[in-house]
Amino acid sequence: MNCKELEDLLSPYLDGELDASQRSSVEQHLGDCPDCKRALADLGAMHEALQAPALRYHASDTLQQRLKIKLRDADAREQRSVWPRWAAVAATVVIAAALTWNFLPRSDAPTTPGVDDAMVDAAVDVQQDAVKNGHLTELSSADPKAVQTWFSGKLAYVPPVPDLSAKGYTLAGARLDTVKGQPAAALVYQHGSDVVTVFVCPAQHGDTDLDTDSDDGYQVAYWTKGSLSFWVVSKLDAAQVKQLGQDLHQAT
Amino acid sequence: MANPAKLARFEQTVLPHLDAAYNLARWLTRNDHDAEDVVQEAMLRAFRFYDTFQGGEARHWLLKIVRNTFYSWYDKNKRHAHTETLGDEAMQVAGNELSPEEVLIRDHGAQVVRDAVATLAVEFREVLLLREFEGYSYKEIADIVEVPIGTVMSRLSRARQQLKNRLSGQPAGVEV
Repeated sequence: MNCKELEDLLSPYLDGELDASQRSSVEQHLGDCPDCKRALADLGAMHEALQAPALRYHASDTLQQRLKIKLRDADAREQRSVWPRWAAVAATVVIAAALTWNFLPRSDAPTTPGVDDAMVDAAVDVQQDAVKNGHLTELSSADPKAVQTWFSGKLAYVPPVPDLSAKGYTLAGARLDTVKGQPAAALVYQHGSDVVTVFVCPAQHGDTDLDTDSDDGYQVAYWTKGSLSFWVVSKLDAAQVKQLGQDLHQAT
Repeated sequence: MANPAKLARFEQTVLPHLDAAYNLARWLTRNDHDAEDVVQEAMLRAFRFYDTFQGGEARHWLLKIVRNTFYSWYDKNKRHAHTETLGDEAMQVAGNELSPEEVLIRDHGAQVVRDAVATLAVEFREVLLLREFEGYSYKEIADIVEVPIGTVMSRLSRARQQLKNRLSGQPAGVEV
């Protein structure tokens, strides 16, 4: 082991995070190398310095008092809203049932045009904002599993993250966004120099087949499946977006 | 159904970690005002999701929420504020009359260390804080920061390297 290799191991060595064999290699090198020994001593001194109580910040009494009041308010609100919340759930179930019933005979027809049109516009707006702000991904990862894990705890549902690399779409990452006031998982794929964002949101109605639309230079393919709705937004041409939508529709 | 004992349990298990939550938020936001906002939001979020807390380490659970809340705040502010580039490794504190020799690691005045840590990029700062202040294992840090253990190891190593360079008399001045 040379000094360069050792450099990266000093920090985990200090933290006791190396396994026995790595530890003994490090110790062997340290025995012969005064420079690395010194580097370790520096890290140790820095660790000591960081333990100084003066470096800790403490919450002020004002913050503590304010929090207690806010928590009490939040608790009171929750208790009050128990019944209305159940009522709302019940109402939603009734509406969902009604909608599903309505759509059953002609599931390929545009379902709730108003709702979906507004979502198309909103999804395109959100995408334009993201592009303008250079805020496409909060997590950069090409690993569908990692992306899915990243969403856990951030959303009330688990968005499917299909692997489309075989179709020429590389997963670039994901971000958490809001479309029409609803939380949305935004999956970002790259296709050559083009970007495709797939928004996955809670469904607002029963399952629908793939439909397409365009707005402000963007093509949108969308559908609802299970309890989720999917919105593929891209500047790719209409046929490509539709094809991608069909592939995704099958994969999700 | 709301559990009438929820608030009492929350006050007993989660609220005692307010100082740790504030310390993390304060180090991440680098000012009192934003730290208070982040902590307040995080605590209310924690309370809302308290029913989903399965027991275990309340502090770990809370710090994870503080960190997520911080990043929501950070993204929002990064979009709108141009005055400060948080996370910019090259951020330099305004120069002053201290010579590099005086800034040397020699006596590690708390303020010197504090300023040096504050100039680390946010992804380095957070792993360093979780390790040095909270004493978390790499595995625990990986869970909070949501990156693989190997990434925790390399970030921590680089964070320490950078901190060491800064403390051993980089020309970047020290804010007193």
